[in-house]
Amino acid sequence: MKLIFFIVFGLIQFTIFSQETTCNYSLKGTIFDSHSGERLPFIKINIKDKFVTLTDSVGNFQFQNLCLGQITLLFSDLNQLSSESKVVDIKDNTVVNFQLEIHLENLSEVVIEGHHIKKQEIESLQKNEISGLAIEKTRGLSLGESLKSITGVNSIQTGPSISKPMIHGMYGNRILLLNNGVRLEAQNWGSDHAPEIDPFIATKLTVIKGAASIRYGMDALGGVILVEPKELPISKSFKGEFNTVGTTNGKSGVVSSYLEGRFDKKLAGLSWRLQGTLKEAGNYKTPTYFLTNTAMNESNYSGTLCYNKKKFDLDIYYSSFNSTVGIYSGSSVGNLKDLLFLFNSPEPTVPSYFSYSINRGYQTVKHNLLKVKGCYHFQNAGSFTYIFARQANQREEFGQGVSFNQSIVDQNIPDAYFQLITNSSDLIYEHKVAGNVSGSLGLNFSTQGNVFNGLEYRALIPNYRNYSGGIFILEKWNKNKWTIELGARYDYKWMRSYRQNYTKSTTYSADNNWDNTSATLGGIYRFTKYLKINSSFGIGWRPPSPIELYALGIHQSAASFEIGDTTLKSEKSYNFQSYLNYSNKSFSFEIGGYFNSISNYIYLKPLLTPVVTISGTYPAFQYTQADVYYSGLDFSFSYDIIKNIEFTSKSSLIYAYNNSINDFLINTPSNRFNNGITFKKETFKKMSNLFFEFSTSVVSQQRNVPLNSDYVSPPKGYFLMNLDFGTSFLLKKQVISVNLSVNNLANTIYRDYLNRFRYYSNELGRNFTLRIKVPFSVLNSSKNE
Amino acid sequence: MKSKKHIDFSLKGSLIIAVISILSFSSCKKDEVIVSPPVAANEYMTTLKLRFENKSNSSDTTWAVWKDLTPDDQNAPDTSKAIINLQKDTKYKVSVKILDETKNPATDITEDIRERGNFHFFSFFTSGAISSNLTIVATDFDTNPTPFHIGLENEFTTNGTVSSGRLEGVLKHQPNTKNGTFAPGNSELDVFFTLNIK
Repeated sequence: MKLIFFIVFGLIQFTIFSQETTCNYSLKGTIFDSHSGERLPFIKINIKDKFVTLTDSVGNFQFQNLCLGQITLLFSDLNQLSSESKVVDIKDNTVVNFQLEIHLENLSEVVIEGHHIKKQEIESLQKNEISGLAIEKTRGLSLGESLKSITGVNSIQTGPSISKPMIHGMYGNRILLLNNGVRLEAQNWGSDHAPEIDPFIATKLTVIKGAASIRYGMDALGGVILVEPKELPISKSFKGEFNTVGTTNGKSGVVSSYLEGRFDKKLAGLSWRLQGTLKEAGNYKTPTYFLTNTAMNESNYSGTLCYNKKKFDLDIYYSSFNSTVGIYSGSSVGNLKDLLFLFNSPEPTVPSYFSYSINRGYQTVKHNLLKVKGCYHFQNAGSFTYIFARQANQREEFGQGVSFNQSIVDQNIPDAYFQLITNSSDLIYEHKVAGNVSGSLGLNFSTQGNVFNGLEYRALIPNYRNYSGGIFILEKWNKNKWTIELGARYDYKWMRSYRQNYTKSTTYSADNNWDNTSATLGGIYRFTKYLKINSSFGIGWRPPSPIELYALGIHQSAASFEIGDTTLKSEKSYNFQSYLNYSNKSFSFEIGGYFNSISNYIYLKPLLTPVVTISGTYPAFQYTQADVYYSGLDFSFSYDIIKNIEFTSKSSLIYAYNNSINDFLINTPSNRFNNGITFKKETFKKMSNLFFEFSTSVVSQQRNVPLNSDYVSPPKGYFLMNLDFGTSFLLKKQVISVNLSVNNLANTIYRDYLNRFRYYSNELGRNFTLRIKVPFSVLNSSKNE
Repeated sequence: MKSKKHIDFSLKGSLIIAVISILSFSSCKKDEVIVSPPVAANEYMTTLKLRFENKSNSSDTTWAVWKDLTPDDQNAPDTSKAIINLQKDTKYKVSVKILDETKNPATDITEDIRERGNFHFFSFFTSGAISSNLTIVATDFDTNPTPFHIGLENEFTTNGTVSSGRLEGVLKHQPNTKNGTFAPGNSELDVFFTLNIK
């Protein structure tokens, strides 16, 4: 679609305005939807922020007092979720009709603003996006929760506020998170560490399903999540947006805002954005009791400065994420007996009350990222992109118990401290399109240093330094209805770990290195404008992580004794997937299947003899390797039953099996079905984008679980109901978007298999969420220079 | 003219990027080379000693010892002395001692726990045939507004039946949640002794 757009209106360019003397011309016209041909009402049209108007109910607009010469019109919907720009030459009083790609009826589609064509980097893998109104509905949720509306995507949780995304049953360091183009590196610390990303920076979340190692590097066996910010403004402006979210459960409040602009004249080409989010939540509540000490707070900010000339772009981005998360008091276990005792208690053994204060049993997380990106476009020879990124991840975990050692209490030394600093460089050359072939070549290099400090014997992750490098080529051949994609990649990784011999108090080190090749072959065939099939075969790999190699000790939060294995080899995955997509105005569907076979898959194997220590008896697990596979089916469709009423249905089925020991795999999501019925109206009186949705989700019980790997059997399946309502309206001249949703409408008591706190507590009860969004312009739009 | 300026800028830009990256790479402090030894937040609990004093004959005292000098690892504990022999129809004063024997001399952690008695609760459980032949009552109290037992001092009473079984001692850490019952908090110590009533 974007391709068509760029072919038809290939002349989108950024125009620098010149001051003209005669300024009394008019521009009139009508705006149509480029697909349906319908007239588009309430489209905001902006000329250089000096002239702003809205189309009327039949799509007409008019401007007066325009000067001669070229002008750029920026079209956006009221939410400013999607926009497009067009250039018109004013020679006289002019009448022009425009056909726009802006989709008011398609809640999850957005057309990328700007003068750069965003290339789809791996086309043949299935991609699902959350953007536009769909992302508005997730505001206030964590990243892991935001993605759950996509088929095949789950989240693995540790209590109500720690949620990690899971794609086709894989999570943690088997999937990659790209935060504004940079790999988020702190995911190998374990499953109770949520991604350090403020979802408010994103206007688009993309999930790439399947082995995308070829483009994004080793580890991406399960898939990739792209968190993409909004493009910076492309015309002179100074504007912003204010968001606020409030929930009844947890009595949480979020405010998030950004300001952005672009200069002209002497500073032409310079654009910027400042963004920040504050979040505070108190103890969450299950249908019958509060989860004591689950309060949390977050403060995040980011800034972008971008300079572009015709051929050169420089982009500097800095972001900071800071959060403190309380850990549910009722989940504190010293050993397996405690865990089973809590599991068998009908009510929590800790008092239930509401509070915003965070007591001991909490973690603080800091993530700072600096990214510098430079891009040079050659006249007829493609482009070079260089990205340097430095990220510092820090985590402090404070246990429930207070030390007897007063100096530790006074210095507030955490029970566990993790620090991971990563520097990375990426160089990508996109060569010029030669005939039907396009493609890119890339090099990357990165180095990491990890430091762990702990109280007592808790060296789960050793200190280490690693260096890794990779090189890839990805080529695409396009002709008529076909696209064929072919890629190859080589990666090398070296790591030196530093550990201590506690009896001798000496440090010793051990070196490891791994290398491997990845490859992909994929294709797309477009039957018609609406129907296409994409299939892909990919080979990816993942070296063992330090915890898998060197763990030795009690994993306190899991009440288990974990033993690493220094002889582990790399995992290698062979991933096949095929998706059939049909998308038309009133009916669309997507059906796809995948088969991901992984050799040397690393997992925790239960040992027969438990470990006895003074603090009790622990089941023991050893990291070991096996040949496994994950297979499944993603199916979704939406259908306009009658005008304004749409039915949507999404199903995710998954089956995972360990071939080596003929058993199932632990933590595999159970089958899930979501259905919804939506009433929607583009415009109604003074409102636009009005919708009212009732949805249900059915999650079945996971019965395919391995023997002796879990302490209790998986919880029963459950059925939940949700309501969502949203609209945008004009208050005086101000656009305001409002969204109200109710989750767990029936206040159902349930537990979820993918929440590690299923041993200790029920899931959250009913929750009302109100979201308000106010875009604003700082420059007075009626002012004439 | 314009294009020259342009190239200048991109060169400058690349130079800036190069400098930033070189600086960042060369400035990495190799923090990881220094492995900090684990800080002793609390003394390691290595040893649980139970002192039994015959209430009617104070010279009749015995000790039972459960010991693991390498806590938090797979090495099996030393339970060779974790055997208690009590006489039938007798009252014993039983004191709990918790030690850190990784240090020399060993440190006694019992007083620290007693000091924080409002956050700790030590309790005994019996299993096997002794269950109906042994009564255990804690005799010490914490300083909560409504005092609860700490459980470091106890009275054991045996009846006339000869029997054997297991005695489990559990120290629960119950910060701000202590209510006199075993339920709240997490176990910091949980070990088993063999107990014979002769």
